[in-house]
Order: sequence, then structure tokens, then C-alpha cells
Amino acid sequence: MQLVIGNPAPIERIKDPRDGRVKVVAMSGVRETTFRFPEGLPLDEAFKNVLDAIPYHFRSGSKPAWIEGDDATLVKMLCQHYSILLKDNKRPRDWGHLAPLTPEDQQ
Amino acid sequence: VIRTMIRLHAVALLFAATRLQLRTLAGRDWQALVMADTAGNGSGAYHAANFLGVTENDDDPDEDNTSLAGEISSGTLTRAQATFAHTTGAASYTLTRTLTSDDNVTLRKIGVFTAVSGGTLVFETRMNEIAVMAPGDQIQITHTVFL
Repeated sequence: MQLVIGNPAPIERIKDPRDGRVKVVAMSGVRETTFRFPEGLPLDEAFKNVLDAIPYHFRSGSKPAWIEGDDATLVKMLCQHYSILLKDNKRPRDWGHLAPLTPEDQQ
Repeated sequence: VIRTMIRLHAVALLFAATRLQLRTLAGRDWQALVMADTAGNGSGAYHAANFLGVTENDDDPDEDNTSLAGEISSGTLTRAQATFAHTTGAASYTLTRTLTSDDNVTLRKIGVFTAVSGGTLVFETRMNEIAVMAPGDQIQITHTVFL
């Protein structure tokens, strides 16, 4: 089971090798955060694991822009939690792409 | 003078070699996937390190350790595979596990292993907060690995 989540405000954690301090650094652009779960993990645990891990990948106050996954129930649970309307839950074609859109994309 | 010149030359070469080793963003992604992806293809000694065990032991983590002292090895808190998460290009990834206690325990440290039993202890870390648990209590542990 896996999820790919549109991350509009990505962060990373960097440990300074000199003093061991952890810095939270904002990353440029929009990115994808991928979750991969152990086989057979109950849905409620997968849901809780995502909620607990999101603050380590998303800037405080931000939320997923879209959610894709191979388990429709988990995707639905997370969309409800993050107030994403299922009809709007789509990855934009240019998400994370640095190259300009093709004419077909722009139509 | 010649000795000093040789020294300076050696320092310059070392500096150049260090500067040449740039890790790319794609390289970070590769590292994260190889090290911890639950969908990884590695097996045996090359299995990804994504099994998380816990202990009440309070000894300082030690780089010589090959096992997690006092690791809980029975009941609901035994070692199990965690959920892997990584953001493209990030210099870190996370392993998350939900634990429901079946005993009165005080969790202090975690270990990240390459197998559900035995395997290699790859990371040993004190928890940010000690978790005092009674039967039925549930916690989530998210461990960040720095690349």
C-alpha cells in the first residue's frame, strides 16, 4: 500500500555535523511526499501514521494539495481529514515540473 | 620551502576532491529508497532498515552496539516494520509506527533494524520524550533519519 501526496510547502530536516543541532529548512517549489506502508497494516494505523508524519514533511499550517494512492478508502479518509473535496482531488499536470508546459498541457 | 609547497599542493588536492563530491537531489532520493523503502528489493544483509523496536533501557546509545539492550520481544510492542515517508529531494526521511501497549512500560529508546528479528541494528536513538504507557495506551513514534 502506498500514497503519493502533493506537498505545497515542503520542508527537510538537516543535522549540523558540527554541533548535532537539527534545523528545519523550507524547500523550494512544490514536491511529492511518498508514503509506503508495511504489508497488512490496518487502515486506521496507516491513517494515524500519515497524520503523525506529515508535520515532518510539510511546513507548519500547510496541508496536502492532493492525495493519490492504491487504497481508495485510505485516500478518502485522508481527503476528509484535510478537507479536500474528492472531485477536486487531482494532481495538477504541471505539479513539480520545472519544464514549461507543452501546448497540449495548456489546452 | 619545497616541503611547504608539497603540503599546500596536498591540501589543494584534498579540497578539490571534496568539492567534486556533490550529492544530487536525485541521489538523496536514491539513498532514502535504498535505506528504508518498505517496497525495496534488498534481502538478507541488504534489506532496508525499516523495522522499529523499542526498549525501556536507559543506557546511552553506543556505536559499538549490535543489539538494542532490553528490547521488548513479546506482546504488542515487539519489533515491527514502520511506515516509510520521503519528500522528493529532501535530505531526510521518516519512519513511523503506531504502538498499542499491552503492559505497563516506560519506553526510552528505539532501534531501527534490517529484519523483524536479528538483522543489523542501524540506528539507536533516545526518544524525545519518555513514553509511560499502561495497557491500552497508544502512541505514534516518528523517527527522522538524516541523509
